[in-house]
Amino acid sequence: MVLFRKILFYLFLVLYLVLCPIIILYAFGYIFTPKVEEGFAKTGLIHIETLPANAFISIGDKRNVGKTPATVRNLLPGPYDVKVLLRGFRPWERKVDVEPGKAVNFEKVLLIPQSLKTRILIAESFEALWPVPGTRFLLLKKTERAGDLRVFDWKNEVSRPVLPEASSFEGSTLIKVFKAKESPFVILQMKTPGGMKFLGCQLDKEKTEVKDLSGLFAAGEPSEILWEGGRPDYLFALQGQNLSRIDLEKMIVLPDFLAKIRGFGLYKNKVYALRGSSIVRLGFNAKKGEEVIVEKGIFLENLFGDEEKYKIDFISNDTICFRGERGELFSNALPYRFVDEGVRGYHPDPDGRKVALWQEGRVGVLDFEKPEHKKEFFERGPEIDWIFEKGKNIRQAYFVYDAAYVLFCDEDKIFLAHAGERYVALEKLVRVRTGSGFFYTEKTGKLYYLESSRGEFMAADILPEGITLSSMIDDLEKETQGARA
Amino acid sequence: MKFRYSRQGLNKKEIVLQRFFETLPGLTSWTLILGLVALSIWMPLAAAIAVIVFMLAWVLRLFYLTIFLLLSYVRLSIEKDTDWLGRIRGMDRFEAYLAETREGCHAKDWYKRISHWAHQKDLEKLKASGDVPPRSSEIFHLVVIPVVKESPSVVAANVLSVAHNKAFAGQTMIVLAVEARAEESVREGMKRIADEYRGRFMEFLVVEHPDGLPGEARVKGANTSYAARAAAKYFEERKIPFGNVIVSCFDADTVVGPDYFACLTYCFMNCPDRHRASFQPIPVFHNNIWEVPGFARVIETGSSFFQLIETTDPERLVTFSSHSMSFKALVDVGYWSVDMISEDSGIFWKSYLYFEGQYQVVPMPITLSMDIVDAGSWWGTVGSLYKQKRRWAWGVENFPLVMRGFLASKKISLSDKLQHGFKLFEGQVTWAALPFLLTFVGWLPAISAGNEFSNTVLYYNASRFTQAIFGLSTIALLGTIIMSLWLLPKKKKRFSLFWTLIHGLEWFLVPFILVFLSAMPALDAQTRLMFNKRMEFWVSDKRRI
Repeated sequence: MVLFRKILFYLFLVLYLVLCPIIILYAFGYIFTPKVEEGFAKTGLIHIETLPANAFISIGDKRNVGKTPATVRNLLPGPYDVKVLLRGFRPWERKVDVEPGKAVNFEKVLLIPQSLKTRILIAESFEALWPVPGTRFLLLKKTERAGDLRVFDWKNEVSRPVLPEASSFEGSTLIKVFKAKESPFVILQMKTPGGMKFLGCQLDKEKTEVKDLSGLFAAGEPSEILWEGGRPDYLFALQGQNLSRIDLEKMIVLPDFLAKIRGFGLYKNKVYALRGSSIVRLGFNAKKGEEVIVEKGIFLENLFGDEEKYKIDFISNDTICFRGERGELFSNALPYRFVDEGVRGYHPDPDGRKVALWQEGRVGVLDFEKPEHKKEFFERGPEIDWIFEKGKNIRQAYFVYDAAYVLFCDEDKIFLAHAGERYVALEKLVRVRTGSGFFYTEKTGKLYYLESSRGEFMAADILPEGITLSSMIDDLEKETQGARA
Repeated sequence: MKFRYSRQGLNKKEIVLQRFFETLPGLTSWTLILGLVALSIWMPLAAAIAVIVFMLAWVLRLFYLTIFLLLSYVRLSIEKDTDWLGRIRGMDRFEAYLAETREGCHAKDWYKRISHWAHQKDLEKLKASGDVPPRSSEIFHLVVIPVVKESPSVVAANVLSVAHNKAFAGQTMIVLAVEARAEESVREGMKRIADEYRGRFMEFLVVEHPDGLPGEARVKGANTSYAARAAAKYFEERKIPFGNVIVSCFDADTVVGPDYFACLTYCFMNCPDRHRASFQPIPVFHNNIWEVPGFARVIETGSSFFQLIETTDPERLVTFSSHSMSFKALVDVGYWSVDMISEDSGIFWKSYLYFEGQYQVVPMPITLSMDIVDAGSWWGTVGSLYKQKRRWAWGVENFPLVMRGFLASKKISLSDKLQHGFKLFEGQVTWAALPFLLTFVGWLPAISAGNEFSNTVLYYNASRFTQAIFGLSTIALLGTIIMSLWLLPKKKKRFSLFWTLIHGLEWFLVPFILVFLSAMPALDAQTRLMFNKRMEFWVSDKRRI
């Protein structure tokens, strides 16, 4: 037994000593190939995951090297044509440079159906579509008449007029709709023979609850109104350079709640405002003059200048975006100043880690957590990846498939572009009514838009059915918990 | 070699050495675990390579050990029906018996043929050594059973099982080594057992060990040594040579089979250098195996498997738990250590150093059964098992003493020193660190990978390799499951196929057990030793339903 044990021990030892370097070399990508002069070559690999899965992968001349999700190993360095094919879906193709020891990773490839599955949701003609951000509601504008404004609940796929039947405001002219993040409360600004009217509308009720708030805006038309929560206690209205606080319960206005400001934002029951070159903060319930200075100094002076007005937007606990009148985009994260002008809008992902932003002619992605390429002499922070720069009139953008793609509208066409790749062919999806908006939500995986010629309200499937189910359940659970609380 | 096998009474240089070797295992284990975690975070590439190196070593080792587990099991099966008593009687007339065995075995059973072949080989070796064993009638047994809080019913079962070895009961002396600090009911219970069973043995003593003798710690070794000294007086008075006495130190819950002492006597007679040897049976934990929670069953079956594997390496085998040895050797080396918790393995190292490497452990192809820790509740049993494993792992206290002994010894070969030292050290570090590395740290490079690492071929291949290793480990685990089902005793009540399957599936608790009831107590023990926090002997909770 002792001898046998010794023999076996040395056999295993030899096996280990032989296998260990072989496995390590293989793990690094080394293979033996008679085609290469040296005999050994350091290879690379391509990893592909698609939605839906089970698509066939072809690499170069080799067809069907695997089915997604798959890792194609032992590829000698060089350029490869990668093609992913799935019956009923548009082929996905890329030219890939495989480098020795490196992996080319396509872990979120969204396959687009050959013909997009579309459905008419409301067979009527609409002019514009306005999403109420962070809620399940979309507003559909048919005409200038306020009574024609409809609200659509995309979760339950039902619609109704925003104003209740026989409302005295039905015939008024709709001027503007004020919306706030994650709030089913909207304010309609309307022109009536009796003057300008402001109606507060609670959309998450079976019948819209409408409250005439016109008396609260007697001091003048606000350029901006913001609030927090589903049934807000306070509204904050910017009139000129002064911010008024409106107590909706008591229906009273506190004018000049914050005076001489250049912009404001709300976050967790506090108002944050840019005053001169300082950031000030004041609680919703605070009294006038109790504001505290959060930050001030030459740094802010250099960043914000003297006159420009800004919107302050908290996109996460840590990240704040400032958008100027001329389309500047700043943030509290390095390098602070991202775009000097021309930003028309931006859309953050649900975690607030990334934003998809657009200017007239280009769409980009700003990933606040993307590591810097190389440690330079100066710390630089993230940069915007401009993924499309040949647009003519880009108006909106949304993240798709866990922020792997960006859906955007240029003139009357909606395109899908990969968020991490520049200058790759775009997927043209649908045509929409000129000037109308569109909406996409990951919760249903659907694109909501107005059909180009007739203006009918439509939905198109972007994500395959079933993928969105889990997020819907999560959402429902959150709602249930919220209701219990 | 005169070497004080203790950490007491050291000079300055010895204290430095002692502390250095006390620190080494714990420090190495922690360095391995934390080092690989740090490496995974800051140098994932290097960590991934380290993981491959570890995992490959582990999976090969697993297969290597599984082979020996199987062989050991086969050997146990071969000797299961051996007539030890017949062999002993045969060896009493050595020459004639050798000639008879040379005629060969005519049994049809292959197991019997192999057993006969091995037996004949042993006899030839014994003859070649020129050492004539004493006649079996001249061999006496001393059984020392330490008691501190064990119930009389547990000890009585132990004594009764020894009594069932009828051929040797008349040559056996039982000593119940009772701590004076034990409760009155325990001490009274032991006296009752002595009164009840005295007539079945050559002698039956109850020796009370006074508490707090100078130089002693509250450990089992102090109690058993005190009892063995009392027995020595008895043998001296009756002029029984110590060389003819085999001493067995049994845990209180030990239960031996009816042919245990026949097998032990055979091994003793058959060993050419019997006064420089310990005799190690295979401990199994069958007494209450069907009454304890599944995880306890798995962990103790694992302990038995470990011991089964160890018996295939007699050159490196160390005594564990209940074991036997020549009483002469025990007296020569100065009895068990009186200030160490791990007196079972300690007595081997003490003897090994005393005889300067000329000491061995002879594996006995027989089992003895003990109790699995059972505190009466699920969580209580988890806690008790943890403490028991920590006590076992406290065997690491031998490492500094052995290393100092090796440095002092001039006769032990460098090769033996290196091999024993490495096995002792590596065994402890592997025990404490490897399960953590395999269960958690192995996945860390992939989890904590940044963009730079996740875009490498190594990132993809390393996780593929890890999956393959776990797949292979499952094959080895399946082998272990099957063997455990063979080894386990028959259940008192019949279990359905469903429950049989469940008992098999209990083995998939291994990852949990390895981390929380094996590695963690071992790391705990090593850390305590590293920081010089001594442990006291803690008696495991054991009960019989």
